Amino acid sequence: MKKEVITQKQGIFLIIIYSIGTSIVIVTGVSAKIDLWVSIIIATIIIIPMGLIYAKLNSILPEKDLCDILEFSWGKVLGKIMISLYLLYIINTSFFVLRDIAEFFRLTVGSETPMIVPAMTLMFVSAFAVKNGIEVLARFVSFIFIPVVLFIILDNTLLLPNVDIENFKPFMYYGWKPVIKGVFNTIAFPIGEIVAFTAIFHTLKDKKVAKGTYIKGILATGIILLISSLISVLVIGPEVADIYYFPAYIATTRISIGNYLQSVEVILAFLFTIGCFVKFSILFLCASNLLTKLLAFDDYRFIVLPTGLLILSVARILFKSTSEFYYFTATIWPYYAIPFQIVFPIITLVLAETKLRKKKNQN
Amino acid sequence: MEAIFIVILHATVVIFDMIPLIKSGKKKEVILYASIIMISLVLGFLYALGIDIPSPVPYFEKLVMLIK
Repeated sequence: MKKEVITQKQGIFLIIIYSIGTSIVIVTGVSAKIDLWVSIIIATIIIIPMGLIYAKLNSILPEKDLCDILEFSWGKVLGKIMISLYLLYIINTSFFVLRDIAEFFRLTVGSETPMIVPAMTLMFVSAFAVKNGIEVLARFVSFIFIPVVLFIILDNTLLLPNVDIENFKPFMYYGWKPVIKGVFNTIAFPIGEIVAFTAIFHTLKDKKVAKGTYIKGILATGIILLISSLISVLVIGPEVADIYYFPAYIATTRISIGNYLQSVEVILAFLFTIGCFVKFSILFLCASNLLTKLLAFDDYRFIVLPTGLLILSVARILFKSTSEFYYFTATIWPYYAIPFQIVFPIITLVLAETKLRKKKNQN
Repeated sequence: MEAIFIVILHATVVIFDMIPLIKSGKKKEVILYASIIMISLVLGFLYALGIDIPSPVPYFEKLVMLIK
């Protein structure tokens, strides 16, 4: 089988599109009300050292992926349990991406369309990308990165005339509690989800650049999230942003330049679809890879379509309504996600370092 | 209607993706493939028929609330 390789630039682009993809229409850390900018900054600062830990995990055993690292650090039995837990976490995250795109199309574009239609379309396109491997996906992301960033800049620039600076006040009116909640929410979704790249970045051409790839990706994601979330909230106000499921989309509907530039939200829907595709493909790739490695198969490609169909079936039965889904992601999800994003990687790195030192001393 | 769609969807995947795998003679792979696709078909079909499939989410919420 041909060895897949991605460059540092492609790695950074993948991280950025993956992280901002689904959060482009969902304002991040909105539970902190107008202080969400503080939450996003703190969450980014917390995740930067985690990026260094993820990079170290990728470089500690060169050419080895997340499964090998987990088995090496935790031992054979515990390693398998950890792989199963990570598989569950990644599959759960992919449920949310499918559900997000299905809910988005139901609530904004075609309310009569059954949920399965957009979710199934995304799943099949992603399955095609995953079967072709990470290299093809990375090349696609390099190709669409500049248009996506230009569209984000255009969208935010056009929103500037609608910004109401009064919405910026009062600072810290609700105290630190909502800000801390916002930090947890921002880490759990989307910045901390970068942990999935530990299962991919063994394909980086030069392992020494893993650190820079993570840090640059996290910083760029933090800046884009900060600017787009803040502008959206300043346009519609923090209270209104808290009510809607897709506040950034609602903010964009307010853009109206004369009578000739309207319905710019279509651009946002396009960006969201591209982002969902990239994010779901990466999660899908990780899930297929982890599942086949867990069951000791060599190649993941044969399992891609059945896994996709299973994700599609389960994503529909998990939540009975849209409000239940958004309540879960805002309130319960951080408690489940943060151990996988922060606690387990730290323990894995400590265990791996200890084992490597022991081996060195024995030699 | 949706139930028929689910069956057609799974049948299409089996015809175009699983049959070449069976022909390649990889037994273990075929067993894993068939198991996953069967679970997916049963879940999707029951959901389409309107049968209430218990979701693990409420139990998970209770567990998190205990920790909280």
